[in-house]
Amino acid sequence: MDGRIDKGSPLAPVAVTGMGCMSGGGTDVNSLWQNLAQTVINCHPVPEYLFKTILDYPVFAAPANCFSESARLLVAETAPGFKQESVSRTVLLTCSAAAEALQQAGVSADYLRSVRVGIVLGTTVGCTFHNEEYYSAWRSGLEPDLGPVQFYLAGNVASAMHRILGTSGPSAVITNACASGTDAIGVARNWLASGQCDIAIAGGADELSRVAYNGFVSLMLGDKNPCRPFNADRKGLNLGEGAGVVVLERQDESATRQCRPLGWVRGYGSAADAWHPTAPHPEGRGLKAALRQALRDCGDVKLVPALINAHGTGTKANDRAETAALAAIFPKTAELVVVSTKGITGHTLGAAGGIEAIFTLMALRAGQTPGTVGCLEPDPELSLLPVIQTENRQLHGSWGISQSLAFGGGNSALILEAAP
Amino acid sequence: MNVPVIVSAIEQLPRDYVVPDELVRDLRRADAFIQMAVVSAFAAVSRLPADKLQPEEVGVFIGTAFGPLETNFESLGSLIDDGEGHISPTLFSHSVYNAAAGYVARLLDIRGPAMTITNYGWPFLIAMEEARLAVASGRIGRAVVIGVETYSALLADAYRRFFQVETVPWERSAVAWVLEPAGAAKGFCRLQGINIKEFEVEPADLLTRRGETLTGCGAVSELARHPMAYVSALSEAVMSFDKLPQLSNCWSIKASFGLAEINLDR
Amino acid sequence: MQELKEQIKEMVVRDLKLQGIEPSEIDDNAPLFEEGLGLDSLDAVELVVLVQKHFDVQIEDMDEGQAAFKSINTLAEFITASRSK
Repeated sequence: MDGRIDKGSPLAPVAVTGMGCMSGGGTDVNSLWQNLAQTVINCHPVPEYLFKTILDYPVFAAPANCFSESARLLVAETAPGFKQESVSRTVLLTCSAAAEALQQAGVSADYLRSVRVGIVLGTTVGCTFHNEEYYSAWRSGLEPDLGPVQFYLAGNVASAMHRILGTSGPSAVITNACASGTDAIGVARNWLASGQCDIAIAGGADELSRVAYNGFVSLMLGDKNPCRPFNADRKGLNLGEGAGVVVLERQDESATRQCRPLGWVRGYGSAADAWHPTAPHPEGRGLKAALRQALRDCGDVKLVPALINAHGTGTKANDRAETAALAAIFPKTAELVVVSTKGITGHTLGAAGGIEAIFTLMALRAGQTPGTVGCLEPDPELSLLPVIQTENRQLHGSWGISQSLAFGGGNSALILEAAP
Repeated sequence: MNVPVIVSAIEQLPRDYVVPDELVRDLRRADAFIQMAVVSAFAAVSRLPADKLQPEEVGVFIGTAFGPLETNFESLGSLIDDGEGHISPTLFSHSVYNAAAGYVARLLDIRGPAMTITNYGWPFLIAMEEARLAVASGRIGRAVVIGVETYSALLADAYRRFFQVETVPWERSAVAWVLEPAGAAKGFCRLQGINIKEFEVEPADLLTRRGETLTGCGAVSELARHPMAYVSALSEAVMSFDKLPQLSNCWSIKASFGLAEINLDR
Repeated sequence: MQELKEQIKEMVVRDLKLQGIEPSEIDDNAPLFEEGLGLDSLDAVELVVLVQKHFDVQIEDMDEGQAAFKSINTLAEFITASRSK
């Protein structure tokens, strides 16, 4: 990028060396990308293997068996005797995504055990206790078997991953609602840069739950048809489930291993709207602050990203606030390449930031992006024109942004660079 | 940039705390988890002298083991009682774990990072280290770090049955610390860094916190068996830091589930 | 109608946890949102669920909701009209 004023980020460069995904949008990174490129929309009524419901809001469900073959192989080595039923679906989704990412990074189980591994994962549903049977029985004065309580206590997804991988090092579960996955990658980047760990497994994971499903319906944020982010007649979001995980490593003289970067985390910013419990600030106040922070962090406040993977849930308020913030931050708004990939994954809550960081790097590496699935007639009232479904846009540059907005007014943004 | 970071204010929310008048209206929908987080943060920040910080230069970092679990169960109850499609949207949105951070940000006009960390071990310390890094790197000029637990009746009952005891040593509590760059403010002590290692344990150990100890100034003290004990003990230590003998600046917390080292300095 | 309005007012104060106001103090014509009672978008979706729960009347979307939630009077009229359908 010519003309860049590189003030030099104060932090050591952190490379992305592996990416993995298990979701309704694709059962690995390749199928996720192919489904986007070919507009394969896996949006269906809630399958019975998840939960029974009388509501007709479709979802993007991962397969009933979401524990991949590579996860099985990895776990057989790191945790012999591991039983799938001993952990939540959220943990299984994470295992699958992590196994794929570690494999791509070329990181062996032995190596992982020899270094300090930071595990930072975002989740929303994954940290709650939603065993309805136990709750109902307890509430009616019975003394149900304590299994579900033990399951809940063993279910912290980051600690569970340390346990399953046999690794040690810092861990954190980020519960920043729908921005959790993006923040988790940002936190892992900070940990690597400040020397808290040698390698990090970061991203997000969330299984579909009946409570969250009903919650979004009650909030009147759901669409009974496949979602249409940025579209003029958009009605709301579809929930999805999945995990998106990246392997991050320091890439300087302090690195413990020669790695092959797929790209780099160049900047991270996070900021609160300080506005409303569920609605975004109408002008995207917090998102603007998060973007400014990320731009300062990457050392180039004038950066024009080649691609922006927007949160783009398909709700009226989100899409309006988000595009308003982007238009305010980037003066050459007409040049911006903005897409939402929710039309392929649904809104995977805590996993969204992880999955979308992967989408961002995949597109930057390919030098092109498919358009926004579900957006055929963009809303003229939005502050910018996103790439529509029927378009395939060439990208000019290797730096992009993946951003998330959350309930509670949280906003976060990652600046990612693809390796040549 | 690596700015020294100090602890400039600490608020341990009293048991009989009162919600300040100016917050009552805004907290009408808030559960105890949110209310205690907000009131403790509000009190901690009120202890500071007037400043010229912009809202974007302040962040909030919350660490919790059990989060708004009671509201989580209330929304589950609402789903069961009211039926599908009729779960209370207020309950559901307030059961999301970052609801408290959102409230703190809104009511204290904090527009920097708002982060919630949920871990059974030492979530307050994880949040603290993230906050310290944010201040040390110059990204923000002040961090409000909150530890808060409100537990739940279901979990307390499980505790009684697990361990065949009559009383559960849990009491709702909240603590808020403020971190700032050393040059800009006066404080109790410097916070140099926090290192945490986790070990694999039986889930029940996370409930009992059997044998959790705080070591500092040459003394080892056993902590009460609840997930805010280390927060209170550390808060007490830091608040009387200048009166303590200067034996070692490294404080450590040990438990069956891990080891945490907190490096402080004058 | 008067009885219905009183029920609505009680529901609003109790279930939306309004502070410092009695049901009887609410003006039938005063706006419920913003400058009126100070309700917001989260109260609006809560009202949809509450109206369904207490009056067995379904509000399909927020366009319908916005018209119904202008005041106690409009909400009472909406409920009465929906029940007689």
